[in-house]
Amino acid sequence: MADSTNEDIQVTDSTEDFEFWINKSYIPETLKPQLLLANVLLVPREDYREGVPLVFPVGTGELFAYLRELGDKSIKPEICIQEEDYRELALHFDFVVIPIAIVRYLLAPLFVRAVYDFIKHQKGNKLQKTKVIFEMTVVKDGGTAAHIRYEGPVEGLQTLVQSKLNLLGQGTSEATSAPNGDSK
Amino acid sequence: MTVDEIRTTLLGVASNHDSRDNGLISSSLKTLKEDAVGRNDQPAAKDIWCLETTLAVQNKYLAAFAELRAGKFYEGWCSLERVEINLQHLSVHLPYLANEYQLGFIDSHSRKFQSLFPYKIFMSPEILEIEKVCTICRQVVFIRRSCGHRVGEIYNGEMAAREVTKWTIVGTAMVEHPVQKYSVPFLQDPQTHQQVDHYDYSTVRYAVHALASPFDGWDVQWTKIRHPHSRFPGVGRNDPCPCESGMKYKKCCLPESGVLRPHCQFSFDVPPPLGTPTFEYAGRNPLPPHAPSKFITNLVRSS
Repeated sequence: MADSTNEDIQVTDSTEDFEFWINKSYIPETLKPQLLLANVLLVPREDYREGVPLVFPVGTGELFAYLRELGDKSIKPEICIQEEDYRELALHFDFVVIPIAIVRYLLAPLFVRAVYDFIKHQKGNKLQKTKVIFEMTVVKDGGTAAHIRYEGPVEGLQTLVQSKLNLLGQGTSEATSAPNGDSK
Repeated sequence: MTVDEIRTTLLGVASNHDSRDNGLISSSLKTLKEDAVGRNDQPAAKDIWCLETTLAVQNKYLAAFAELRAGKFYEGWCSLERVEINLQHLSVHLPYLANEYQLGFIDSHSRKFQSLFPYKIFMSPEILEIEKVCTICRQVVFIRRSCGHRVGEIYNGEMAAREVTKWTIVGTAMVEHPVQKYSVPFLQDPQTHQQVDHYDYSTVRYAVHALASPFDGWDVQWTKIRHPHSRFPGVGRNDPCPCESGMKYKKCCLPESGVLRPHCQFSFDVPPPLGTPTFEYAGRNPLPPHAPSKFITNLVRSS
């Protein structure tokens, strides 16, 4: 998959697919079968700071519960951590930070929509002013993966991110087809 | 009071806020909620929570206005933050597009007041949350075992949240857009170690004293206008320009009609009280010999 940079969104090749994360040293063997069934895997930020080895952004628990309770059973979420290691980090700057997600390509649009709906329900009248940091590694059936990082207004999840997913699906070169007119 | 009587009272807040009995409203709502919960009427209990939160928003907004009037600016800032937070929670359950209960007005005017404050940098802790409990059932929250109570939803007339019971602070940052707006840094007197409020609240003071009622509408626009060079005595030709461009005065504003400085323009739906200045230079030292005025306010009456 091609590399691209954009004003608010970056797409880069990645090798960090489901197997990469499930085989981490901090995942016990007893948890792996459960994680292998997932098509959406929330993963921790590693080595955020000395003394803070594995963290999820604040609100990850609520998002995970939301995904598990979705009426759409095609999304099978899991979280790449065992219970006793789970920690949330509240940075308290006015961005919604979504945990990094590893997602099967076919589920990616649904996942992005679910995240948007989750934030919309949380933020109520502040949605328009809310900015989000969103990272997702999209894994295609052939084994290739692309990492999408978006930072900007929540609406961008529905526009920029979904647009990038469409381009990934078409195998289009990102360097020459940036949606907002930029070309890098 | 019945639910309908309470609803009517809350709807009329713009005219009755000085005379209504908030204690009676609160105690009535408490009793009504207990009754609803007792018969497991969740929709009714949620409805009462909405009324309770509406009352809280209205009262906190009124408190903020009073605090600003009294010169308690930081306290007013904190009250405005509580208004913002309660409105956010309420808006998920009670859309107020038609400005019902004056909530739309309170929302927009709280933000206008906040925009006048001089606070630009905030202290933001980085908190590692180790254990949390549900505020409804008080059970410890596990990542794969939900207690069933979703954050933000209403159960038995109470909003579910998470209380952090084990945590540690791993860092502190200075940010421009905090979640916790109350985390305003203040100076400390090196001799007495007392907190020193060094901020300039001139525009906030101007606005709040120009309003006869907290429910009189107003608007504000920040622009820049040129002010006479005579207001900047003692600034030499080779000194930094008072407009803070970084250029020398002689290369910047001196050849122009005046110095370009921030200008705050208000418009009021109801004419301010007699005696309110229509034009005012504001700042800690209105006519400092070497420092430029921070900002200037101007009143434009709406026609």
